Amino acid sequence: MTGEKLLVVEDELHLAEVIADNLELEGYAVEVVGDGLEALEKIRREPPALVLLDVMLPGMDGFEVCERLRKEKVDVPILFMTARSDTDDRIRGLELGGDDYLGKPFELRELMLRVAAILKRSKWAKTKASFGDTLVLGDASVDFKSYTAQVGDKQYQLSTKEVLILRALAERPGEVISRADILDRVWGYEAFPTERTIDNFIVRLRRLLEPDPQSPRYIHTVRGTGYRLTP
Amino acid sequence: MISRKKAFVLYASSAAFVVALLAWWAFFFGRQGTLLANRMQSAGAPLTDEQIATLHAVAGETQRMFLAEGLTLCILLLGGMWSILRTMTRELALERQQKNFLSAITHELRSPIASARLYVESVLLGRADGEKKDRYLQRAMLDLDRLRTRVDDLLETARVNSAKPTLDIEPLDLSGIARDVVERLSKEHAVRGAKIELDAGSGVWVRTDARALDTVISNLVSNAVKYGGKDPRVLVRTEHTRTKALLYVRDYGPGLGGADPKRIFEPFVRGDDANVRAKGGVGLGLYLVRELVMAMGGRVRAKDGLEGGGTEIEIELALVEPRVRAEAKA
Repeated sequence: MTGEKLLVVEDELHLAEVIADNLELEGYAVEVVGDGLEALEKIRREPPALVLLDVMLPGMDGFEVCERLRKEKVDVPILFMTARSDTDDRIRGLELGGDDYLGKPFELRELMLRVAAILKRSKWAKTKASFGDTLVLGDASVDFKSYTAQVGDKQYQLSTKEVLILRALAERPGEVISRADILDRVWGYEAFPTERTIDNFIVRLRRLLEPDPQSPRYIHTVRGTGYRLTP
Repeated sequence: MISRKKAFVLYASSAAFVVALLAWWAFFFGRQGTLLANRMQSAGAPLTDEQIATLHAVAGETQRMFLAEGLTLCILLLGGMWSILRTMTRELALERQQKNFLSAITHELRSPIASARLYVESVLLGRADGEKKDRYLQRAMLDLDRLRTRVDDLLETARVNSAKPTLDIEPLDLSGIARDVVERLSKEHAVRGAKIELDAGSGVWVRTDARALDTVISNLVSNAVKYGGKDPRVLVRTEHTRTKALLYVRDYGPGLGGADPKRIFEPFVRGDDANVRAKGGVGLGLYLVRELVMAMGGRVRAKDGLEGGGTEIEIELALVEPRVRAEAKA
């Protein structure tokens, strides 16, 4: 069906086997490695569509693999799978740039759903936006290819999440987009962040793009629902 | 909680302050005689050399008294602070060990549950048929066995911790038990490419508990396989002197990496590098070995930095006399 390349990084032989078998049944092309360093090298050489990454690994632990990749601007989607699933570990995994976090033991169907959701989100983020590569909001313009915002003669670097939130709003201009919709598009299935997290991103976007962030002209809050973009 | 570094900085600053204070007292009282003499003379009271010498002598006495009191106080203060710092350092280390233990135990218990569950779920969802279904169920069984072993280890440790282990002591052939364990574990670890060799001496009899001895040798061999590097090789050797029975279990892996060979027998102690953390285990195997060997009246020690690499664990037990052996065999 899909043929997308997935990399399973897991040193427990049985877990690696049963996860890989089931992903292959779904039509993915799966490769397995059992060592963090080897995984890092492999991802650098040829980034797969998604990495399913264990945390406790020989060679280098999963958190460090993720951290190094993000530092090198390798934005391959990462799904952490680990037995260490307390809140601190979850937060750490997501803060280091993981896309989602699955605590062992997990259900097969849940794994499949999360893999499909991350891939869908990742594909959406990679395809060209319906309105093109640039969004103009008065004096400000956002380049969706370089993730930069030009405001007057100043240029700002935007984060992936900021760009994706803006894109979710800009694809349906004038419509109210709920916070849940944004969470689903940008963070994905059973997203970790709260809706409050989106509000914080919106505050930063307004500071960058609005002439007067206190009384926004382009990014409007619709009380109790979400946001509306009026270019 | 205050970090170790902060505590050390606090201690070092306090110690420096106390030393500086003492130095200031020494300087201040050292000058008291001269200061007093100068003031009295400038106030119009000329002093004879004898009177000046007396003033210096009195100031010197005061100086010595203050310095002795200050020094005593300083030693008490620094000693107390050092003791607090040491306690805090120990508590931090213990906290870290317990955190490592929790993390390791979570991993060790949840991993086999996770894979057994996925194998069974795959079968139930009809995603594995025929040979694949059989294989999945067999793997799930192996995972459950692994889980049982982990739980047994934990329970055994809890039992050893709560009371002195009760052993069923009898004369036993150490080499024979080592042979059984090596045969059993060779099959179990063959899948990882491990090679377990036995060099068994004859007439190595000890007075001990069969189950406990089996646990000791099994833990040592499994540990050696675990830390034996790629394609691990393990050598189990038994020999005896006139009074001692000796068992050696050696791996040829990267060794302890500078860790203290004595500390590896402490509970929850495991190396900090990613390779050790990733090997699984909760840091109880060698602790259990030490406790059981001690209950047998024996000694255990680790040797690192051996020629050819690796670590060797030596178990020393009292050798059973030939007469007792003959009776036991009969």
